Amino acid sequence: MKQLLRFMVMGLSAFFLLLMQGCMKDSCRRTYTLFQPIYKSLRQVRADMKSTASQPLDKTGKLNVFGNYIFLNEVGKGIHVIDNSDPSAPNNIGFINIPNNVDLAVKGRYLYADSYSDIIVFDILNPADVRPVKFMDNVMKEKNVYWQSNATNPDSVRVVVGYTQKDTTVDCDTYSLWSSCSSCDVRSNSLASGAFYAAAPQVGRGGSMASFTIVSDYLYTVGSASLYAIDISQPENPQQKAVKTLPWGIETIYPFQNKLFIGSRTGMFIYDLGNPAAPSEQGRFTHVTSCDPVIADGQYAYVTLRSGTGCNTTINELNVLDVSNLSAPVLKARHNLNNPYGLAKDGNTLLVCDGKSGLNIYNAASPLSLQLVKKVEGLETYDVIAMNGHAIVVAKDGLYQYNYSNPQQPVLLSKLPVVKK
Amino acid sequence: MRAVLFVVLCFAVSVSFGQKKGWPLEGSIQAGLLEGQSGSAFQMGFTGGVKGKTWTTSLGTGLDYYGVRSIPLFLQVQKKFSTREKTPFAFAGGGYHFPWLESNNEDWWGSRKASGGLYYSAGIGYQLPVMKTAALFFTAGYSLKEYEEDFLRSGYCIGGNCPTYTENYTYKLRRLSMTTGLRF
Repeated sequence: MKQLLRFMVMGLSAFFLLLMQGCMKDSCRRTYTLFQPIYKSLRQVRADMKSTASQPLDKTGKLNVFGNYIFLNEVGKGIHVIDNSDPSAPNNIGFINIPNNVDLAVKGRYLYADSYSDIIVFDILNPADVRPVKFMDNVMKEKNVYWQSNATNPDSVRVVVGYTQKDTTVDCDTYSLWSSCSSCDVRSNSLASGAFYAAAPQVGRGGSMASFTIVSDYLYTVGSASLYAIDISQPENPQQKAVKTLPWGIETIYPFQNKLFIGSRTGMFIYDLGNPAAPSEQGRFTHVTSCDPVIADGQYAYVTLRSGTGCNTTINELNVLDVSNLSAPVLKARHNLNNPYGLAKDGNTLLVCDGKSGLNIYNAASPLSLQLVKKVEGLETYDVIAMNGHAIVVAKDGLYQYNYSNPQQPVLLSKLPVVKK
Repeated sequence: MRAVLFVVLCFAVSVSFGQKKGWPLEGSIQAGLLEGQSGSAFQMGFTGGVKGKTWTTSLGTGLDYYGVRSIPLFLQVQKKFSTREKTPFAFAGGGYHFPWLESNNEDWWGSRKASGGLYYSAGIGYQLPVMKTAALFFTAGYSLKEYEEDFLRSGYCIGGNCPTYTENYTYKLRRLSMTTGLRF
């Protein structure tokens, strides 16, 4: 019995010792990647914004088709120039370095591209030797990261051109202290936002994910809550004419018949270009919060709603809206999809990128009762440009081209693959 | 509701396990509190194993709501300090616990992957008979469970190839454990 009592006393002692020590304290360790910026002056950065040797595709982004050339955005890095004289054998002929580039549009011999909040005009007369002709400073202010209040001299502006990465593990409490330290020279890997476009003769044709588009003598771009109108009647000397404030969550812009169809996370907006220097809202259609590019073809507008990171919804569908009364668009039909992104319409054929499910080809002769005629699988699609039976499809693993003259049996013409490093 | 069903199932298995006549088997069911820096939390569990004169080796599982809801699966060894019905005992056990998340793994900016980790407990107790074939027991001890979360983050961007990065959190949750239960 004495032995048992001794055991109990020892046990209880150990128990209370535990209480008094750190043994009763929860611990948390946080492992993350510390990104430390590498800077160059803006002048140095701009000196490198020109054609260089071609590079393999890595992260495909927006595209714009102009004549026999495809300009394909490499997300955050620049633009691939692809000679597409023979769609069955596209030739990657060069790469334009443009840090943080997301969007582009082409008109005549000029290409307009963004770099952070700046817009750069490039002369593409010789697509193998593209050179900048104009730098527009801090146009899209919501994308600004390096222009300080009074800065004007590119020599004094520091631009982040890369990051050194270091995996770091600290106590969770310590991390909180660091992240609230304003003087610490540490930045997270800020990620660019962006999207894409489309248009007419002399103007390059883009996809529905565009946030740049050109109508007549104006370049229109959208930021997350703004619409910018830029006069490009003098291409080498563009002038910003208007900035319209829009609700937050603007993503895409699509021109049709002197109107702009703007896709946002909360709905679709229609802007009238009666006065091209100052677009005015004509109508809107509100939907659940989701990611949504939009295209239009006259009486109908087609909007894809998708779920996914940042989209804040579980809905994945194609909405067909009657826009015959532009002031009051009406939802007419809904079609379930898996994870739709960009879309394009060519006559009575509607092509919809459905993410990992591939490319859907519909007979859209009756827009309110679309008929799925073919599902092209085996590629994760993002955006598509369709014209005259020829589809150029941006997918995660490369740039595909199809002849869909017979929509039931599209023929793969070529694939320019992504080459993972 | 699922947790209640789980408790009922555990109870049934434990009783039937411990009452197999002629077999040197022992089952127990218990419930109690975990107390630590993160506050108090409920726990319950059951064990089933083979007993010797004063030693019992059991497999156990249960529910542990401290920090993150999880299901531990452990091996436990118990030593009684006498062969009498009223006796103190000591126990130690360890294993793995599986998180049973109460919310989905998606948030606005990315996804979360939770992983379980090491789980162990040790302590002392006292049992006394309450029925012909059962004993009531009380325990007090120390328990630790490790838990990991990996967050896959993606910034806002429209493109299909938004860059992502990951963050990892590793937790060690140290608790005082107090239980009471029935042994069959």
